Amino acid sequence: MKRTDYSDIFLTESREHVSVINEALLALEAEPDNSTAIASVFRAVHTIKGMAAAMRYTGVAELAHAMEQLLDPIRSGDQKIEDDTLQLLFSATDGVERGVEVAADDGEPLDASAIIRRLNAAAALGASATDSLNVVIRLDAAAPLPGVRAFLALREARELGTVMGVHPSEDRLGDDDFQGTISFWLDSTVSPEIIRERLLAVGDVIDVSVEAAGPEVGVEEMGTGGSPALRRGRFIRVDLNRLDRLVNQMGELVLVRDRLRREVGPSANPGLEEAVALAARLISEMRNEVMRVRMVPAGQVFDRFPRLVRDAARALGKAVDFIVQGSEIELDRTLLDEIGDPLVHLLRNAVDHGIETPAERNAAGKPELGTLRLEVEREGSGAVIRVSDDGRGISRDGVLEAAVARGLISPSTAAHLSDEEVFRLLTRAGFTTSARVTDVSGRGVGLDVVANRVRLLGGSLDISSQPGRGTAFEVRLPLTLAILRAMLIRCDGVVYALPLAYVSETAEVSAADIRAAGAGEVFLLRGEPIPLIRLHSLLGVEAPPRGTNVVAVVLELGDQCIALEIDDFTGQQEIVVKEFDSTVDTLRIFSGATILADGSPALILDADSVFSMAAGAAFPHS
Amino acid sequence: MGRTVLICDDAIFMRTMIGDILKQAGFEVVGEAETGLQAVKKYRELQPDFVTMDIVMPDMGGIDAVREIVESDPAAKVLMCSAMGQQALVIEAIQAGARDFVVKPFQPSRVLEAVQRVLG
Repeated sequence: MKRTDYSDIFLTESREHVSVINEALLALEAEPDNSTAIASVFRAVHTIKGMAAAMRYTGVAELAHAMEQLLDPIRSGDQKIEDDTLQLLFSATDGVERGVEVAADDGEPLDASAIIRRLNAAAALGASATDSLNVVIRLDAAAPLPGVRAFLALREARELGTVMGVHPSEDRLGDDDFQGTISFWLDSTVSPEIIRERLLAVGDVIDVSVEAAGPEVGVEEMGTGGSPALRRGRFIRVDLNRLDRLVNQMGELVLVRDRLRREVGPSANPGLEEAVALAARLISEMRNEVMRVRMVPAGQVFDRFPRLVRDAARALGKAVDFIVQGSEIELDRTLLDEIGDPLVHLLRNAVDHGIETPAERNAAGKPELGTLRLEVEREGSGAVIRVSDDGRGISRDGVLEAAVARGLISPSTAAHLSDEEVFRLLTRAGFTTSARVTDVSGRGVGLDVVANRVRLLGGSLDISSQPGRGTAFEVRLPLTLAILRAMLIRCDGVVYALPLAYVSETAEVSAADIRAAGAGEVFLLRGEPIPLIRLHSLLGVEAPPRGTNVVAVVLELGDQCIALEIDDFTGQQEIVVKEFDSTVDTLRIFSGATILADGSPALILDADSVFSMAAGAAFPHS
Repeated sequence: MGRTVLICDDAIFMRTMIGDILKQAGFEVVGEAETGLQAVKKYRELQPDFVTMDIVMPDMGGIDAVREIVESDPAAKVLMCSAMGQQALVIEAIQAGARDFVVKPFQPSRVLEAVQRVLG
């Protein structure tokens, strides 16, 4: 048989092995300790190496060999697989895939020298710490064909690591208007000094700056396929501050859009009307796109959870089946980063306090393997993250007992509370029903921290539980930090927005039930005294005389509750938060401004400030 | 003995000029080619240490010649000689495997710097 007779078999088999490698690498990414996955990567790489060598596809064989070298100490357990190593292996696998295709096609042989060097460098280092660097190269103004020189510099940089975010873009380098400065991101294991030296040696380069990259955000186009190339998408790195400025300006543009609509209205000039409508639509679309730029799939944060749950379960002798759903749903990057820790807490709690030991489960007639679910769903313009287990559930009586013992509620109140209200007690500061200290959940840092963090993000936390059946925590979040759910209230004829996350309830209080307490006033809500503050006095406007009934909104921050007396409610709405211009001497009580659906502007009340101002007004607090 | 060079350009004037610069710097011009085809053939015969390659030549242009040369010898060191305004072509040549470039009219110092980088 001639070599070409084998190439079909080679191609088919190699493709299979490449997909085995990809799947195993993905498994490793979620679970770096997965020794089965490491073994399958190693086996598949080894097989490809042997086949490619037999076919004299040297490039592929050498690349596979380099991968094998890097994998060997990991397979033998001498080294842990780091994320950098994984990413390098992903790139190398892409290289193998390409190499296999072109080789079998008798195309140009694979030149994998750059990636092989990186694999070797990583293998030699043992740990493959790559640095993210921001590189700027300035060329001599007198350099002939500066674009070509820049291209050479890029080629050199690619020998040193992975180049991304090239500016100006590479295909513009052939244009006449290239200005002689090129910048890009370089992920490299090579030291900055050597990078500088090598790039200066490219010729016509007068200056190279190599600096550690600042905060970054990966903007990914998600592919639908499963290959790592598609999965990781093409991306550029953008300074988060720039994005924030863009989002902010977008917010302003939205205000202008609304104003434009109002000002033009039905016009005698249909052309103008049409143009305004078109501009308004484009601005809306653009806003959505700009918001989307900040979005990343939840999986980027969730990917580390399976390992964490497994470790916690192992440490506690629990058997847990952890199911993650909705990883592909996109959330604001900052939001995701912020919600990561609270979720870790909820997951650990579930493993520690929710799910019983196999023996207990057995005795209760449940399957020994407990189930823990982490699910993300879109809901309206926000998202719900649900952490639920099928464990022992929360005991209503246990919570009440602990709450009474800590003086949080009176025994008489305890009887009237709904389940929801009982579970909400769990989010009061320092509340815990667990007397045990464990390595996994610790003690004291409880749900109050989780609830506060969620609230700071403009979200809410709901708890539901059935004894013996399990517990579910639902975290509701806005899709992005720039959009907030707000309650609209009126005071002295002006509408204000109050972030709904801080509103625990609304109340209509009979004026007769309001009592003086110290310098202030309180009323009893389900037997508990709540300080009542007139929003008028905080805003410095004159308060009208009271009628027989008072409208109040009860705010909750941590374990404190206060009630704000207002004129009335005008509804609920999603608002786009526009930060304040702090050059103006405004009341501290406002955190920003927004534009309402009817086009009128409104100030946003800052709950934190309301609380501290209330405290400043010398209110007694129980 | 100096390093050996093969000079490829369809204009005698250019070959002479670059040849003089290189000879003065101690290089040995072992051959000259007027077309891309000749360049490929002579490279195989002479196995020079490096090649200077014009982009526009009859009978196979410089870029295709680079491609063929580098394919047969991945270690081949080729220096492209280009005119102003040919950046897109030079980039193509570099993608085909050329190591560096100089721009006409030749300045001896620039040519020699580029040769050093190519041989580096």
